[in-house]
Amino acid sequence: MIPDILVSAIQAVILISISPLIYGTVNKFKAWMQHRKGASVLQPYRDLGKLFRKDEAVSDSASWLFRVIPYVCLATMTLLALMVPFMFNGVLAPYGDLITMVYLFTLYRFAMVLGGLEGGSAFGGMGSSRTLMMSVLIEPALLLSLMTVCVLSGGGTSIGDMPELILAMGAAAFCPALILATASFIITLVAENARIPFDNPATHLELTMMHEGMVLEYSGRGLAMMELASMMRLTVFFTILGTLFVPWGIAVTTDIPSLAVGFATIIIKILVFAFAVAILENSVTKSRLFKIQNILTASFVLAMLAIVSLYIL
Amino acid sequence: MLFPVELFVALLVAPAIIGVVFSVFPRSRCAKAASLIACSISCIAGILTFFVMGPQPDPSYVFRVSSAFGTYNLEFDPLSSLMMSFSSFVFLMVLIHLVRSGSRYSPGYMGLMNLLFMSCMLAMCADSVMILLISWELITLTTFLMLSGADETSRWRYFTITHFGGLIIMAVFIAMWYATGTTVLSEMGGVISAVGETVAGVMIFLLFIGFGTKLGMVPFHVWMPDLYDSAPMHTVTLLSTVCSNVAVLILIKSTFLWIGVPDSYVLSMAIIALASVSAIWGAMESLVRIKPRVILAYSGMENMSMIVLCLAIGMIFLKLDFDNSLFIMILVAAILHTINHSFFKSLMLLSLGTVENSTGVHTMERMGGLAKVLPLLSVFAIIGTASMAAVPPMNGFVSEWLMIKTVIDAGVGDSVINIVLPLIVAVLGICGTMAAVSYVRLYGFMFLGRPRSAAAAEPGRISPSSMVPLGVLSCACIALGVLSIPVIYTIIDSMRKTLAITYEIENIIADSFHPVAISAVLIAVCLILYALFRVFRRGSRSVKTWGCGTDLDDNMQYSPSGFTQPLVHVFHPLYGDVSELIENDSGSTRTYNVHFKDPFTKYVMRPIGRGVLSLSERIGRIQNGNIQSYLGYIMIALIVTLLGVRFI
Repeated sequence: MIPDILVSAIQAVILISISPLIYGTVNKFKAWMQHRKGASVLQPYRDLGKLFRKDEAVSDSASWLFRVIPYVCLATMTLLALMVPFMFNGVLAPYGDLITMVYLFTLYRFAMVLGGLEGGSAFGGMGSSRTLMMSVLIEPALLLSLMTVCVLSGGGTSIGDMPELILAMGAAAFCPALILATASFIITLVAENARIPFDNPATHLELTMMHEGMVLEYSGRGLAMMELASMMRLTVFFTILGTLFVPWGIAVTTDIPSLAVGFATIIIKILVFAFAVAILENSVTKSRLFKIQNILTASFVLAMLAIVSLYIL
Repeated sequence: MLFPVELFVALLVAPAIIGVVFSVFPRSRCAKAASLIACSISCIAGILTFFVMGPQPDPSYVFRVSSAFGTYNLEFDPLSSLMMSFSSFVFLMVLIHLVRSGSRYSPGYMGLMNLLFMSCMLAMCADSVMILLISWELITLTTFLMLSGADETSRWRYFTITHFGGLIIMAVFIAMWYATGTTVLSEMGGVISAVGETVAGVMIFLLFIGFGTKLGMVPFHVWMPDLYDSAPMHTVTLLSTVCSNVAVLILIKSTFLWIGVPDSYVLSMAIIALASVSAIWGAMESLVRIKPRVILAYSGMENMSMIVLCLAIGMIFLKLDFDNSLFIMILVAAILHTINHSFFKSLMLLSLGTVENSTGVHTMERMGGLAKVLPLLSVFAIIGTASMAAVPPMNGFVSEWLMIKTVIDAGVGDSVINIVLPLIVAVLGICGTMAAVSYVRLYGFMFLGRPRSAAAAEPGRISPSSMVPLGVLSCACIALGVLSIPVIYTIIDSMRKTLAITYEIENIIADSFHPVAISAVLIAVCLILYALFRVFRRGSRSVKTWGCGTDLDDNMQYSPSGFTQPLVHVFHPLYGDVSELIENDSGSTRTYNVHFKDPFTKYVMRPIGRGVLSLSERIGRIQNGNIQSYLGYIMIALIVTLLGVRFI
């Protein structure tokens, strides 16, 4: 038996360090589907390394806040990575709490929005404005879908207990509530990570960009931190989906075999999710801005149905 | 050695009365200063309430005045003392902020300040019907007088609406007096046992309406935006923080202590519906307004509605078959949010006042880039914004966390109420996010970007003494967030003593709530990264914002109205037909304005106003100026009175 805390620390480190790899993998899958060879899956590491070594150019209209924001974004994502179970049920710190998690995503988003407004350019403003429009619809859905899992497992809002409780339910966990909540969470995942059909991570065209618009003024280290935080966000979301909504396979004890199984299953799950995102990005187009709310409202309604079905059925 | 209660009451009230007296002297600086000092002494006494009254075995006081309306009692129960301490603290900060900008105010204003403080304190610890009604009325009157200089229409609107509420409150309390036969509130022992379920339910609902007029529940919020827009900033701050605290405290005490909660859910459901509509409407309005003061007005409406929502949920939890832990937690959330609201709202309003003083600009469309010229103020403002937006680990987050956590923890039962719980979480989530978006927008367009006017680019000097309260309030906002656990336990303890409730709290907070750990990790990661980047330094140069090859002028950036246009588009059915585009074409300059008309004014208040006017016109016809008819009226009145006296 390895001490819990050590496993939790190791899994947090793994989660943080593989996030550029996951990002690279999604891009690689996308390239394969387009019959391209694509960049290496290690390309994000190289990009980040190059950015960290570069000098910064800061807009003259930016204030002190502009320099603080990348730190805040990266620190928030690190905190979230420490909160999420990866291969082992249980998290590093005692503070893993679902509601706090939702509000930390808010903190991250708002820091980025303020960063977008710093430069005083129309691009940043546009990215910020559109992100906030989405966030009004995303966040309640996120809160409700996570609340569904929480009420379903019946164990309070502590993240570290949740996968185990759902595993203990056995087949009873396959109820409409969990399925609806998962569906809602997947929509949230795609929207939150600025993926097609909500946003296009590959372009800098002003018609499509939200996330890219907000980080447009950043360069050098600031940009590296923002990009790393955004890659971590994708991985954290994949991990939440893989451990809270579909927890089967996760290790509940800290002996080597079950940890190995847990590690293997979560990696397979993440690869499957990455593949699914790649398929989605290759099969649908970026939707018009004012059609986005229809999809997001669907996500909200699904989450609402999930929680209500839990209370009624 | 305990501090004598008599002496304490004297310390609390006497300086304020002396301050009022000082203000009658003609315009002299000494009188103003003396008045201010007197008020500060009272405030300091107020801050100490909780510490002085906590250890007292019998923290009550009876004024040595007797009248036909019974005795005048004060009761410093732990909950009231706690609220008095926090409110006095906020009041003192407002006073300190006022010192340097006080030259704009007359000595009379200072006197009213004293009177307002005294009446707020008395209303909080009032234990007899008369003292409560008198001090509540005094609060309304003094704030009305302190609003001189505000737009007259909105000022009278405030007067009318809050007096409507005041009349309702008066009626309910006098009914309570009539039903129990005593004017001492703590001796009533649950009015519900005297009047029955239904009447008690109606009483509580009326009290929520009555105090709701002050808190800004729909449709009584219509006085808020215009009044906040034009009134003196310090009055607005006190109105929005200390007076709201008074209203919430009296609501809690009268619902759960003096009247008692009826078994039926109809009452709580009605209040939940009203509060949800208010909260969402407040959040939605604050998204589209472009004046910072108006945004803060609607934000107050949203926050207060969330608190009222919590109280209504508390009524349900009290009656459901849970142990009392959920009830206690939701009430703690309400009280903590009230306290937090008074801190972050006063911080934001005072910062805004400072910005307005130094730049003379009152609308976001002419602000921008202030973080570069007023860096310290921008730090305070971002702390206030983060607290309002409920971002961890600030204080606003703690109370919102408690609300959502308690509702989620209520779990699956077999009651109809369970259908309502997820809806409540959805309401809390939606209006929380919407409000947060509007605060981010508020901060972003005030402090970030490039200046949108010359005045915003070169603000005047800010005196250090007006920065001190802002600094203290921001520290308090952080401290109430990071170190919230002891505060929560203090509130739980005072509530247990005040409401005499037994409860079992199985570490509902300690389980998963660790604000200290969260902030420690956040700060540690930032510091480690910063240290790394200091060691491996790279250069940084300043460049112009990229403008596609052109030089960007002041207006070539997002405008606050354009910023939330996508949201207006999405929620168009709700904003409805109330948006209009006005074009002013004056010579070479053209300005476009988007106006949103409050539908509650248009569809509720105006028809009522028209109805009252036409009714009074109709009644006015009996005034025909003919002496015979007047003699006839007198005769009819006499006969009716005589018959009435004979048969009743």
